[in-house]
Amino acid sequence: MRLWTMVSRNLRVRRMRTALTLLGIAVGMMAIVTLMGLARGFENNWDQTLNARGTDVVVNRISTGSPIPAPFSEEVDREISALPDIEDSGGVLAVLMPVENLPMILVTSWEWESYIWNHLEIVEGRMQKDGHEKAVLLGKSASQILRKQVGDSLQLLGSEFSVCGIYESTSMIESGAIVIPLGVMQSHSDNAGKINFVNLRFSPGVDKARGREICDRIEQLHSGLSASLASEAAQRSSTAQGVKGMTLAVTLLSMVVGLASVMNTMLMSVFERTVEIGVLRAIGWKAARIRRMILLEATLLGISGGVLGVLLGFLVRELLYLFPAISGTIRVEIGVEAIVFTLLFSTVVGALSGLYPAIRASRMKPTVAFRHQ
Amino acid sequence: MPDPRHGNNMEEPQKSCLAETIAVTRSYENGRVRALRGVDLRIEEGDFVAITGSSGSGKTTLLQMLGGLDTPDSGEVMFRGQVLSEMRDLSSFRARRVGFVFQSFHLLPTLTASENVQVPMVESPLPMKEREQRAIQLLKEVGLAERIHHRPAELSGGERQRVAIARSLANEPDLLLADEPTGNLDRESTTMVMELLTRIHRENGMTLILVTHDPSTAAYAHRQVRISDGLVDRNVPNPPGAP
Repeated sequence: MRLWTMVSRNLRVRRMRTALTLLGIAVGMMAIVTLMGLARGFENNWDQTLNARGTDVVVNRISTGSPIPAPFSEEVDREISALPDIEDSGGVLAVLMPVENLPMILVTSWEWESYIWNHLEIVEGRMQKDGHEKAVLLGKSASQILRKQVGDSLQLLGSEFSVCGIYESTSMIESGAIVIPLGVMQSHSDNAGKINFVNLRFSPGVDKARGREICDRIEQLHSGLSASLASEAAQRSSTAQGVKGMTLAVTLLSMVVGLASVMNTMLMSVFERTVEIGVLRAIGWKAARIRRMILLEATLLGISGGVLGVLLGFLVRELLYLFPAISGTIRVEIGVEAIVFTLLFSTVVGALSGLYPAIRASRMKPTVAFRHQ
Repeated sequence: MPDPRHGNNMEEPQKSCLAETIAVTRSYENGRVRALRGVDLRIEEGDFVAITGSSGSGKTTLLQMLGGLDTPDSGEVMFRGQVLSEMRDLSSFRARRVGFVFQSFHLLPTLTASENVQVPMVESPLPMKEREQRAIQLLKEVGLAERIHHRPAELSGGERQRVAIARSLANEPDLLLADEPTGNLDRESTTMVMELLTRIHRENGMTLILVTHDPSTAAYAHRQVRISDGLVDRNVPNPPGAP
């Protein structure tokens, strides 16, 4: 008989309480692992998007917490594109908005004839004829979610647009988006002369160090703007920052809930087992072994809650993917680091929660414990 | 032929002292309840003593003092000449020197009989295999070879107490302390448990102290110590042939 045998049986014998405690921890851990997966999914998606376009630098306003940065003058685009080592640039005005039956979809507009359009692969229909045509291109996922085909009309920005083509993109963000020319977007959204991103492409031969210099130069010239290399843009984006902030908040909340839940369970368990602990002390168990037993029980609850939380995270992801509006636009990429972090975190929460009950149990005098019966 | 239960015959050499209390006092509830009021008691190696007395007389407190479960307010409790309150680790003393049997058995409900017997051995350096073998051997000795893998809920009261007795013997203690060991048992189980304790005492030469308020149980011992109002009221050998 090992100490482990007693620990696992103590938890198994009070099944309902153990199950409820595990559920309490698991829900918190599920939220952590899912949010981390969401942040990672967004970052990878954003990377894919910029790679697909061949963009080296993204310029936008410094984040104010909104997922889509605030607009600024398109003059900035012209000034930046005149800098040395900039081969090409394109202004972008993107918004998240409800469209027809969808509560939220990305509508993005690109400077007409900029390099950004080049990567789109039209699989049905055609491109807009010019930068003024009131027609939209739909990403493949967007066309499925909106149930629109080439030739259909679409209510957008308060007027009717026609669907002129459907494109494929390796970027999931773009695949779930609606694309229109920049000028059309500006005139239909009270944003005349405004953009909220500039995409830049370097001249051949510009290395990372030089790229950083260019970014620094842009930020010096235009205070309030942030210029990020494509490889870092995702991490610096306000959406990724927002999800990470949310993850931190949920992590802290889960810690409090987990601590309270496990500590409550272990205190109840210690109270119920007062006589049992007294007997163990009477027959020679050292206080340290009692502490270890209670701590192990709490830690086992933490680990099990973590494992259950990770499994629930995968389950939630699959459930989310059942909704086409989500599966076509959002990826929850639960990586090894998210799993390891969640398991370590839940283990630490379990162990910390067990500290006080363990100390209380180990200080119990056998004679006092016997009077408890 | 002399009665084997009366080892401290005058013709035999004086046995050495195993445990001793010297002017031990103990009170509870800020002195309002005085459980022991200066108890002097000497227990010799191989003794079989019954501590009797009415409820609240202090007999269980005295047993707890002898087993190192509690410490006196004043006076000394000695074990083989060593003062218990001066011992650095009373847990080790209890684990190695003392075996406890309780009225309510106090077996761990989640463990099997064999695992319960192994619980005190967790603190011993014995390898696990040997602990298992010893537990099985002890259960056989108390007549529970068929109940090794049963949990306490699957055993009768008498069987549970026999498991508890096997557990108390796990670390081969010098002193076996039994607090009302038959208090929760029927007549048949009482006889079985007392005969078992008597046999253990006789065969192992183990010092045995039991607390009881039942005269027929006390009659199994060689000596009766009666506690009254926190003091030793009477300390006399039992007549031979009882019960």
